[in-house]
Amino acid sequence: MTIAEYNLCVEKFADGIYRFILKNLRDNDRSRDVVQDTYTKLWVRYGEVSFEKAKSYLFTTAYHTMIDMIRKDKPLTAIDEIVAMPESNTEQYSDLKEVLNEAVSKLPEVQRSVLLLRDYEGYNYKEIEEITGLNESQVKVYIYRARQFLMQYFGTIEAVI
Amino acid sequence: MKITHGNYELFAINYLEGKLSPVEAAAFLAFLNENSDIAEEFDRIRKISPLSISAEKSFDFSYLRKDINSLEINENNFEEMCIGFHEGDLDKKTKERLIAYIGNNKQKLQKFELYKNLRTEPDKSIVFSNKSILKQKEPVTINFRRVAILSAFAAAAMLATVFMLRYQPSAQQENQFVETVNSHNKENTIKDVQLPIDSSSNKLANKSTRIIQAEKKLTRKAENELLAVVDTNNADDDIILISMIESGTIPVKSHYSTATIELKSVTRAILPEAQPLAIEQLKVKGTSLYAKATQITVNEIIQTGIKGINNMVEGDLKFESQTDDKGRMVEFALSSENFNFKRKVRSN
Repeated sequence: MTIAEYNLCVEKFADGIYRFILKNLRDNDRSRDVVQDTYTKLWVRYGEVSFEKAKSYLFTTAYHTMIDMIRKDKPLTAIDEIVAMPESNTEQYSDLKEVLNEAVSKLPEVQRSVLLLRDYEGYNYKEIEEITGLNESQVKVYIYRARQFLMQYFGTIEAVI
Repeated sequence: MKITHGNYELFAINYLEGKLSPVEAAAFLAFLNENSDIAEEFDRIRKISPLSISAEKSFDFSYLRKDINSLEINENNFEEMCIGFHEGDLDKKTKERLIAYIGNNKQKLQKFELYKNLRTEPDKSIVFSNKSILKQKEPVTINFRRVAILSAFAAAAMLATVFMLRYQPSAQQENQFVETVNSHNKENTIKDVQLPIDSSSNKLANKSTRIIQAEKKLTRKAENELLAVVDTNNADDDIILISMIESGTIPVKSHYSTATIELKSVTRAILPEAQPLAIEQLKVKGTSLYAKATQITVNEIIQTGIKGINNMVEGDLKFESQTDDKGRMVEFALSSENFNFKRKVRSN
């Protein structure tokens, strides 16, 4: 990758990575730190990483940097063990998006990550497998569980107008 | 190595790990045949050793997997089918089966639609501000040879600019005169020997060393010392001679007597005010004194320097000058995208 291509990667992918990390961490400063760390790592290896693989490399690095950060904060809790049981929601919502955002924030980290990679970036199972280090079946299962979680979060369908 | 009661364990372990060569393995098995107690012990170890298990091939359980498209749709897997539908996991036939299964059931249809809408979307208004902190600049590679050349150009430009601001050149002084003095002493004078001048090229035709030997009798013995100044065989002293003329310190012609003067071709600017004296004293031909060289003007030096500076800093600096009808620079301007500097040349 050339320096110009590296800078193009900043233009093209920095926002997406930032959104992805911010959605997971819900902390602006720490999310910015993750993005900066990620690009620093890419810069160190920019000669070895091709431009075509750069996006995947960036998301992979950002994901693992984020996981490391979470583990530092919660050293005794395995990421994929944090399972919040959805509670049936009785509130009235006028905005599905609003509900979705709230529900996503309550997803276990791993499920949220794979779901966001799927929805935000449109990655397929294989690509998510490469980024997260999970196998394809695990990715499918986590996405399935995440969707189910969201569905259950709504409680009754009638809650959403 | 011979297998003995002292080292058979090593062979046993290597045998289990498959590290023995066929010959060693055969030797080890022969050893077990001969030692039934060890053979029994080895058999027990082999049965419990994980090493022997690792050598086994793992089973392929892939046949146990179920393809979602091969399943019949029912209440238990309806949600999974809905998710699979929207994730693109279902093939065309299964999608049709699912649509048929939903049929007119309003509740199922609502659930199916809700799963469709459960896709999260990125908030495009969230951006990483100040991306410039992530970007990198192209490293500057320095070509020292190039820099040296360009520096010379830049220095030349600066010097020329300073010179131009402080000095009012005359039309003649802006030119470089090529002056060659080829002369010899004769009868207490230095006479022009009519060296060929290539007037077409404005350069002296012959730049090789010209030796003019002229011997003269000394008319005044006491003045011999003065003659020593010019009694040399190198060009540097020619310059000294011309400098003396310019400064008015040259001895009067009566001081010259017999001398041998070897003058190389001297390319030297001579001040206009000294020119008449040089003509008179050296008796050089006027045309040779005023022979005009290929001119390198101040303007050209500046332009070259500006070009060098622009190359160095990738700038757009421009130098423009105006001259009067005599070719003298009367005004100049330095300009770029960011500034414009104009100045009239001081006239003395």
